[in-house]
Amino acid sequence: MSQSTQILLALFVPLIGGVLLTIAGRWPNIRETITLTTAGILMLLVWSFLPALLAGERPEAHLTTLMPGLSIAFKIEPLGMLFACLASLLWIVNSVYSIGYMRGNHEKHQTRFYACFTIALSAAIGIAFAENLFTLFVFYEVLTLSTYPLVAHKGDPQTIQQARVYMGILLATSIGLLLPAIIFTYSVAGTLSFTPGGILEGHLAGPALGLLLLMFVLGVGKAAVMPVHRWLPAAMVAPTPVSALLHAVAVVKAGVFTVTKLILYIFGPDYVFSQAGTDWLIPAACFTIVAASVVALRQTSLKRMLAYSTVAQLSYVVMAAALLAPISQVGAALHILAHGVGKITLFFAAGAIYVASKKTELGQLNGIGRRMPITMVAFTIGALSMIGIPPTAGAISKWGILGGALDTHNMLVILTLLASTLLNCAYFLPVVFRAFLLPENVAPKKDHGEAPWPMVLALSTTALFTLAFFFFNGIPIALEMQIYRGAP
Amino acid sequence: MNIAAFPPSLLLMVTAVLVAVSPNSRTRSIGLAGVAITAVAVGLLPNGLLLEVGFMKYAVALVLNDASRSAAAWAVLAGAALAVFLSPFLGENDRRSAVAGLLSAAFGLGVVFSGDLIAIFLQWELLALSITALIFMSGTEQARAAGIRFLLLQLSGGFLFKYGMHGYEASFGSYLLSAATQPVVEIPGGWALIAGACIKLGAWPVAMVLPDAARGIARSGSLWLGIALPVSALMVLNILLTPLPTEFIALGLVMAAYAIVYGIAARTAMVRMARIGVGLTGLALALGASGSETMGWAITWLLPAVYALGFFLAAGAVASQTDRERRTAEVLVDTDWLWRTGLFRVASALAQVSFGLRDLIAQTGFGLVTAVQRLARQYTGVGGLLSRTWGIGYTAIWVIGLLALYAMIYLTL
Repeated sequence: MSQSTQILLALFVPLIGGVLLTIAGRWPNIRETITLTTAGILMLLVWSFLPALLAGERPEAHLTTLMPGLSIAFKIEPLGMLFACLASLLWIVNSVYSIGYMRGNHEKHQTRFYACFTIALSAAIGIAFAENLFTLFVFYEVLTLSTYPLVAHKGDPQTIQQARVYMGILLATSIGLLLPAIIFTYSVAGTLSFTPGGILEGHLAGPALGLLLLMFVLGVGKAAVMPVHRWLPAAMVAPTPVSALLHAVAVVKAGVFTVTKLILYIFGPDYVFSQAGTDWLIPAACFTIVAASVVALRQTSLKRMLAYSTVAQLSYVVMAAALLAPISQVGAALHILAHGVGKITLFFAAGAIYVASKKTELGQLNGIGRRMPITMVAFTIGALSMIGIPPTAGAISKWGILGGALDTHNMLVILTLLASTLLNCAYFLPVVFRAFLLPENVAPKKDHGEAPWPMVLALSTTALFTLAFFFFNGIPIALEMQIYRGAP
Repeated sequence: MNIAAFPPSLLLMVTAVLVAVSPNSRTRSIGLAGVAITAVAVGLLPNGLLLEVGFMKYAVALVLNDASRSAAAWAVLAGAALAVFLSPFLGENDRRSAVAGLLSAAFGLGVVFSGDLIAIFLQWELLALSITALIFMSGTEQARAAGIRFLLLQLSGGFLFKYGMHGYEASFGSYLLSAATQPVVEIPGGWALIAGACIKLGAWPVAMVLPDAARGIARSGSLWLGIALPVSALMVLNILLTPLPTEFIALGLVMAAYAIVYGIAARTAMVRMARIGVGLTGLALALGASGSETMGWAITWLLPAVYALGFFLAAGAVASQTDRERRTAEVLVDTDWLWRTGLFRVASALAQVSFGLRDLIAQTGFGLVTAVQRLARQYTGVGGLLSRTWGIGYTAIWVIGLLALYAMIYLTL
C-alpha cells in the first residue's frame, strides 16, 4: 500500500467505522466491537508512519483541488505525527472507558454518541496531517460540528444552552477571525502551504503582522487563550468520555496544535517574534496560565476545576511555542502529549467517581480513595503530571519549556511557570488529601467500590502511560528534534 | 549492570513496598531488615562513578561514591533504623508513615550518591513528595495545610535549583558535579543553585518550614522529618561549595538564633523540638563553614540521630504518655520553666534595670519575657503573622515574592 493511500485510509477508516456501527446500533456488543476494531485499525495505520518519519521522510497525499491554490492535501510532519499518534492511541482507551461509562450510567442515544466520536477522530487526523491552512480549517470546523451533539448529549435545557455556548464561541471565533486571517494570509503570501520557516517573511511586517497573529490566536478558539476560553467550562455538561475527548484526545489539542503549527510553518518563529507588535503573545499566555490557575483554585466542582486547569495548561504550549528557543518548541510538542495522557487520566477518574458514587463536588470526595483506591491512585499520578513532578510525563515537557525560558532569559515565563506549578499544587493536592486521608463525610446513595472494570482498565492504562512517558521518551523527543534541526 | 553499582536507594524502595503490603505487625521487622541490607550494600560500594543511566538526551550519574557520601549515607540509614525501631514506642504503629518515611530515606540516599545535578534535582523532587505524603498521613486539616505549604516551598527550592543548573551546564558544558572547574558561586546562576539547596535545607529565612510541618505531622511520622532532607541538603551544599564559604557561618548562627528565640516561644512540644532541629542544622552549617571537615561530618552524622531519637521522640513520648492530643501532638508543655530558673531571672532583672523599664513593667504587668514571646509569636513562626496569612493558594504569592526578593538582592549586589 502506498503512503498516499495509507494517509487517506487513516482519514476514512473512522468514517467507515462510524457508518458500520450506526447500522449495528441495535446490537450494542457488535456496535462496540466495531468501535474498538476501528480504533485499533486507525492506530495501526497512524503508528505505521513512525519509522518513515523518524527516517526523515514526509509522506504526502492529495485528495482534491477546489480551485487553483486551494486544495485538500495532506503531509505528515513531526508535530502532526505526534498529535495523530496521541489521538489514535487515546481513542482506543477512551472507547474502552466509554463502554463502561455509557453502560454503567444507562445513557441514551449511545449509537449517536459513538458515531459522532468517529467523525471527530477523523477530523482530528485531518487536522494533524493537513498540508495547508485551508485543509486544516475544513477539518477544524468538522471537529467543532461533530462534537456539538456530544456536548449536548444529555439533552436537557441547561445542557443544550451550554452546548450552544460551546459551539457559538468556537464557530464565531473561527468564522469571524480565523477564516478572514486565512484569506488575508493567502492574499499576501499567495500560498497556504505549511512551510518550515513560514510563508510571510517578505510579504508582511510590523504591526500588521502582529494583528494577523492576534486574529489567528483568538480565531483558534480551541486553544482557549483568554478571553475565548469560556466554551471549555461550558462544555463540562457533557458526559465524561466527551470531556476526555475535548480535553485530551482531540479538541483542545487541535487548538494548541494549530497555534504551534501556525507559528512554526506560517509565521516562522524567528521572523514573527523579531517584528514589532508581536510581543503580546507570551504575556497573554502567561496571564491565561496564572488567571486560569487562580480560578481553578476557587472551583468547588471537580470537572470545572479540571476544565480551568486545561485552560492554563494549554497556554503552556502557546507560551513555549512563542519562546525563541528550540528546546521550548520541543517542550511545547511534548506538552501536548504529556497533558493529553495526564488530563485524560484525571477526567477518567472524575467520570469513574461519578458513575460509582454520583459525586461531582470536591467537598463530597472525602474518603473516596478508600472505596476507589485504583481510581484515586491514577488521579494522583495525573495530578502530579499536571504539577510537573517526576516521575511523570509533565516533568519532561516542563523541563523543556523551562529550559527554553532559561535559554532566552525570559523572567516573565520563568516566574509564570513557578507560579503555575505552585498553584497546581495548591488545587490538586487537597483533592488527593481528601480522598485518602479524610473520613467520608457524605454517605453514598449505595454502597460502592470501583467503577465498572472497563473504566478502571482505561484509567489505569492512561496513568501507566503518564509514568511510562517519563522513562521512555526517546521516540517523541527524536521526532520533535527534527523540527528545529530544520528537516522539511 | 555491575552488581556493585546497584543503587542502594532501590533497596530502601523495595523495603517500603514490602512494608506497604505486609501486616502492621511486620512493619518494624521488615523495615529494620531492609535498612540493614541497604547498610550492607552501602558498605560494599567501591569508590568512584558506579552507574550511569540515560535520561532524555543526558547521561545521568546515578551512583557515585566516596568517603563523605558514605558517611552521609550511614547517617541517613542510622536515622531510618531509629525511626523504624522507635515508632511503636510512641503509641502508634503507623505503617503508612513508615512507608512514606522509608521512601523519603531512599530518595535522600539517592541524592547523597548522585554524581550530577539532574539526579540530585529529580530525587529531591521525589523526596519532597514523599515527605509531603508523610505530613499528610495524620489526616488532619492542619496536616493538609502544612503538607501543601511544605511542598510549595520545596518545589520553589527545586525551581531555583533548576535555574542554577542551567547556568552550571552553560558554564561547564555538563551537569556532572565533576565537571566544575571553578567555584560554583562564581558562575552565572550559581547563586540560584545555592539558594535552591538552602531552601531545601530549610535555612533562614524559610526556617519555619520544618516546625510548620511538625505542627501537623503524626508522632511516628515526625521521626522521619529530620533524616533525609537536611542530610542530603547539607551534603549537596558541601559538594557544591567545598569548602563552605565563611558566609555560611553567619547563616548557620542566624538559624541557631531563630531556633533559640522561637523554640522558647513555641506553644507545643513538637514545634519546639522542630525549631531546635533547625538550630542544629544551623550549627552544622556554621561548623561546616568553619573549615573543620571532621566537625562537619560529625554534625552530619549527629543530626538524624538527634532529631529522631532526641527531640521528636521526646515530644512524641510526652504526647503518648499524657494522651493530651493524640493526632496533632498539640501537647502544651510548661513554657515558663526556663524563665523561672535563676539565670534567666537575673538576666531579666538586669535587662529591666538597664533599660529603665521597671516602672513601665510595674504599671502594665508586662514582663520582658512576655514581650519577647509576644513579639516572636506576632511576627513569625507557626502561630505568627506570617503563618496565619499563609492561605494555601496565596502561599504561591508569598513564595514568588520571596524569590523575587532574592533575585532583586542578587541583581542589586
